[in-house]
Amino acid sequence: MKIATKIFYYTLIIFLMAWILPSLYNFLFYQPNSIANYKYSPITKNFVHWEYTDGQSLYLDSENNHYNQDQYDSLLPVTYYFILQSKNKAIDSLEGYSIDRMSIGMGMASGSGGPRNINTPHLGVKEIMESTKYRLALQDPTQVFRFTKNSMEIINKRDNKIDTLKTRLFTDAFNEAGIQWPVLRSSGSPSSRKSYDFGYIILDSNNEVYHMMQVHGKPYVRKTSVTPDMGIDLISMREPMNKEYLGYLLGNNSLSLLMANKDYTTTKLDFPLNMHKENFWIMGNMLYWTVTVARDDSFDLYAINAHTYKTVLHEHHERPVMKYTKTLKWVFPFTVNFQRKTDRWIYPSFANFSWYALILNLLLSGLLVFIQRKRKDTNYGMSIITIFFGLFSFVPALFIKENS
Amino acid sequence: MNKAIFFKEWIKTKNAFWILFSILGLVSIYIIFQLYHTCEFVSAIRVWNNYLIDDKGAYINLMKLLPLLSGIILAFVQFVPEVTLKRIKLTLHVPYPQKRMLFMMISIGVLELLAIFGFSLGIYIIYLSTIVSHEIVFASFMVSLPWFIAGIAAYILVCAICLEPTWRGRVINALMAAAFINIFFISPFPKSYNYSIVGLIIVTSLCFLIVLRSMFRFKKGLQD
Repeated sequence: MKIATKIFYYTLIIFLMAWILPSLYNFLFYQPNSIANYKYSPITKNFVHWEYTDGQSLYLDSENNHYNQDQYDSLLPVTYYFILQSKNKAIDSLEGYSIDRMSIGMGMASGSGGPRNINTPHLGVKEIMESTKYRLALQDPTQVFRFTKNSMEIINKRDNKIDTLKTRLFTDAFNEAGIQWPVLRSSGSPSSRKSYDFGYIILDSNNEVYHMMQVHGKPYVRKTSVTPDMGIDLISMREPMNKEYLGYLLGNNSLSLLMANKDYTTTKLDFPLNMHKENFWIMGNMLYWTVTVARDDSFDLYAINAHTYKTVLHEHHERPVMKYTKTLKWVFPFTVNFQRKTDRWIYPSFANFSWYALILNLLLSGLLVFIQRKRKDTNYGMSIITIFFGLFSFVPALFIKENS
Repeated sequence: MNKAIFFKEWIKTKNAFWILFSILGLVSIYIIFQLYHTCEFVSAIRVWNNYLIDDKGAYINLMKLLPLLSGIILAFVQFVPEVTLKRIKLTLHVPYPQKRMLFMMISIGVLELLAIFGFSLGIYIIYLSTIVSHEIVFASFMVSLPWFIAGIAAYILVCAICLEPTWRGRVINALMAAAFINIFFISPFPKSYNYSIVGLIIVTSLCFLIVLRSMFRFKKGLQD
């Protein structure tokens, strides 16, 4: 039993040190490695960005040309329209399209996602709202729904009771549309703070996509043109101002738009994206979308024509490896993390295994033997353990005295 | 003998038990009144929105550190007199297996905490389930469960700290306890502990081995 208590005690301490010490190291030596805000310029036909370096703002393009802030604003006439307008430098058309307040508002596009959005706990209930406006505005949702193995249940928020009539109506509507239960995913934006509501996009277990709305209290369910061979496994409702498309469909290393037409056709964007491993964000306007696809060691920029949805420019950039991550492998044999960039779950995971730390481990082990001999402590077990665990066992061994 | 041990520990801790029971119970009742007030004077929809949109730990956040403090206080009340008045020496010299004796003492404290936590969390969950769906009730429960397990972990580890004979050992155990308990407060996101909660409960239970270690060191007569 004494041995069991010792084993557990030291195991717990080493485990906690493997979590705390690398966290402390990151906290002390962290260097930011974020990606600058790149945008496609329709004037220079390349990507421009600004960065803050050595206490000053730099405005650059892909060919490393430097601009001042006024020039930079002019390179992005849609993004900085209102600033340019205040200086009487705004242009009223570009590439045959009129640039004004209305067209800018209608043409905005945005979106982002990554593994963290997929690997996240879900509540299990979502709000459902009436898609038609009441007196010129949408109303806050008063009901929620959940998908069961073979139905959609609607619950009133007021009394926490199932609305059996609506439950039957919506379930029947899904069955008529040909849904394959159970539903895998659903995506919507149930907020009254928007100009219109497109309801939800639903992904069933046959990887087919449906569009669902509540119209005058009744279900509107339509099957889209998405087929199982497209391999769609992720969906995201966007509801852009121009109502051209419903949202994004992700699967088979690609991103497609689910168009808001009668046949719910899809338009595939021609750049690769695997949201299970990569983060992406889209900043778009009426002329071009700038898509950034980021990984730990590199990122890609794509300029997408907002009308044809074709890629007009692609750039690949490597991300510099920060000094502190380079030195991490020499210091710690591994690290324990409870949180990761790829999910929202809390559980311990082991990462950053490194043989390079063996050198430091051996040095620390020798130092520990020396210290223990000075202390006349004959328990050399920790010195042996330090060969494998390095600083994680060295630091506690310095302070813990088994026999005082 | 078991009844005698139970009675002895109960005499030591009953005042603290009832005070903690009252405090956590009153906090739960206050939370229930907040829910009731919102339902009656605003709407039950507001309660739903508070959970769905605003803050997944809505209302129950008030309870966040109370289980932790309860565990620490109960451990102090139970073991500090044992150590400062040197009563633990007598306790370990009675004709009863020492490990079982310590296990009984710790178990009684854990049972008291479970009774306190069970009551305060239970009445909150029961009332909440009349207002919102079981998914939200479960999410709220999973947000708060790590805090209550942290309370039990804090109790066991503070017992180990109290029983540890050397001040150096107490400081090390305290730092270790602080690091371990920190795990329970990493994220307030509902259900984020789904994969690790069982493991945390097991490790918390195994923390009894650290109490045993302190007892072995105490019996050895280790000093600073």
